[in-house]
Amino acid sequence: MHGYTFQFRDVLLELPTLLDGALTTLHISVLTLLISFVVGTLGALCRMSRLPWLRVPATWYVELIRNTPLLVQLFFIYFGFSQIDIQVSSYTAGLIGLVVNNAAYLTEIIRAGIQAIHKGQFEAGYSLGLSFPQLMRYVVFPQAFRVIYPPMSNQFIGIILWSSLVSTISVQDLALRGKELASTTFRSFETYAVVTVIYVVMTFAISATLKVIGYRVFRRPA
Amino acid sequence: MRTRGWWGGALAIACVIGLLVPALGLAGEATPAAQAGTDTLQQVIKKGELTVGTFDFYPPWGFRDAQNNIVGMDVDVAKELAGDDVLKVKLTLVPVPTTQDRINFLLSGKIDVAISNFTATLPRAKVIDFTDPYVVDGVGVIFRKDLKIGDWKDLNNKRVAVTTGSTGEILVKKLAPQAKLLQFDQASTALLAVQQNKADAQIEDYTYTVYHAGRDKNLAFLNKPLDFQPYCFGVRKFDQEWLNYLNFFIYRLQQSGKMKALYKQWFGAEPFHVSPTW
Amino acid sequence: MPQYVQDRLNIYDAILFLQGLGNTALLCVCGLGLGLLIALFVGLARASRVRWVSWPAGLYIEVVRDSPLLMQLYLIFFALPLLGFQVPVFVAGVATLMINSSAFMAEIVRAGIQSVGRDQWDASRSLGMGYIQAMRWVVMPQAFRIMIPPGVGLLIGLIKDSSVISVIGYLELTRVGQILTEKTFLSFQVFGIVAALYFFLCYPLSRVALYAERRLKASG
Repeated sequence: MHGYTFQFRDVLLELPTLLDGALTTLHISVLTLLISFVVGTLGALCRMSRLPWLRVPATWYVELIRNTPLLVQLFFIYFGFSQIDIQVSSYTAGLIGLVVNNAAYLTEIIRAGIQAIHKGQFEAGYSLGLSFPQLMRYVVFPQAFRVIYPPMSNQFIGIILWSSLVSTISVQDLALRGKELASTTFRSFETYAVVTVIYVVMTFAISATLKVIGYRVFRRPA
Repeated sequence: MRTRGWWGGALAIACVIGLLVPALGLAGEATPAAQAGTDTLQQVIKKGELTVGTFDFYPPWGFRDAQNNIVGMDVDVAKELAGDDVLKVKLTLVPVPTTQDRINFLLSGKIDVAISNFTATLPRAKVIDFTDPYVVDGVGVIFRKDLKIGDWKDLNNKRVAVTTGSTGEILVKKLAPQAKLLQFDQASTALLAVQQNKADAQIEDYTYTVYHAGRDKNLAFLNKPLDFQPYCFGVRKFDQEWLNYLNFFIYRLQQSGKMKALYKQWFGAEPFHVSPTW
Repeated sequence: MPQYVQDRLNIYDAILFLQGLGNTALLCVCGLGLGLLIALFVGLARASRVRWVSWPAGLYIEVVRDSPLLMQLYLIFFALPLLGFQVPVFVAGVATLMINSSAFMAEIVRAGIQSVGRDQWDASRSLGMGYIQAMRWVVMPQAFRIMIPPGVGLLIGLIKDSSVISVIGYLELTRVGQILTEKTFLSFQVFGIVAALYFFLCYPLSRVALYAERRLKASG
């Protein structure tokens, strides 16, 4: 329409810059997953606790985060911290935002995983004289992990795609590099097509790898 | 099951690359001459509607008033254009969400013309066409008062907030290469970053820096506008009749004194001379 | 220079918030409604044992799930017109949500169908039921129960993701938030209200999911 000529040359010349952005995307996503896993485990334990002062705040945290958009949460964290005089860099704020968001989802995933374990396992563990941490470490987690692994892989793919939102608070990830390139070359359509392909290749490669690992590790009944 | 997942995915990637790229490539082979028939002027008259892309976040060029109507100087110019003796068509304002979207909205045919304090630059002119300038602005710096910024060089080693794709971003890379750039989608987010000490300074259009430094007593602006920024209407390429029409409209707007009156009304000041003195 | 920035929110802004809320709801009802419908067919195709039916469905699901919503939106809104298809802003928003939700939901449909044992399927076929009858009366009612909790979770996710559609200028909740931040510079109040309104849209749904999950556990 209207005499537009597609031209990929300018965009492909800047491919290294885009790949550099993709590296940032991967970096922040992996860190998010690792930290969220720790936070989410604690969250799940709190959420299942019999103590109301642990359970109630954890429940509200999960509900609040899962029912509001990540974009709004990121904005609050990035600009909210300076209201209380703490300066964090864009990257740190982006990471904290992604962790706060994803930990809520992981809390639910891990909780479901632990609850999938039969009650008898707990009772057997206790009757063998295991303490609570020992029970968790040797009995519950190895089994729960099998249940948790598939949804957690999906969550990781989600993190990679959602992390594109940290570009709004000036983290130089793939999405921001794309926006920058689109606005300097004025080749938006070409740029977004290339950026989309990079995202697809990245997420597909990762989800395929995770599937293979999952198959190798969990093939044998534990 | 497992193998199917693998192949499905591999095929998926092949298809995205295979379908997208050649499809776009093929479309690109259509010669401009084939599409030279598009004449926006005639279409506007036939439809009885003029669709203008403006900003709704950039006072006083285009912004929301208390009732959330889009108003501002660019809006008044658009009203003149639609209500002009010849056009006499209904005016539809399309608020363009970000600065870099103006070109996208034009190219994809969402708007007939962009009147949105649009600086004509040579790189931009490779993709779209610009009319003659209707008003002139400069590039300015807005910064927190506690900083000593007297010149563009002082921005080196400072954190400078810009809007992605703005002329300011390009300029600061050239004039203060050691500045640490922070890119935001919106000018207001960049300003918030300065107000909150996440950035030391923001580069924006001169009128914007004057305006917001006047609002916030903690902020100051650099009284040294840089670069000659001609604001023009943006139109699609190969739309010569429309371009001619708009150029003549702008000439009339200047010559009748209407342009000067509008500028005074919105800025409370005399406009810069549109034609540079050489 | 005259002053134009307004320093508090007024009644017109409240109306704009409600308008945004309504538009987000409308967008989601249309986009997700159509998406569910398509998901049913794609999911059935994906669960099919016939290769040339299940492969294209798998391909569709894989491509959509592996690319960001924002990029899909950009391609529909800005790139399709270049190929000659003009897409209005509301249609682009609905289409994006529809495509995205259908791919994710199709996987849930497939999982639901496959969770119903094959013997059920074989039994109904041996009773002389056709494909549609067996699906309609035997497999789907059982699969449906399993699909509800993840399905509702997905819907909540997509309601929130619809905020992305603000970037093409559709006047939904997030866009209203942007407009009013630009207008008043009261970012915290404005985004606080935006967050609260999203919560208002999503929380009832998440209660439904929880309820369905409990029912499922009690009866299963």
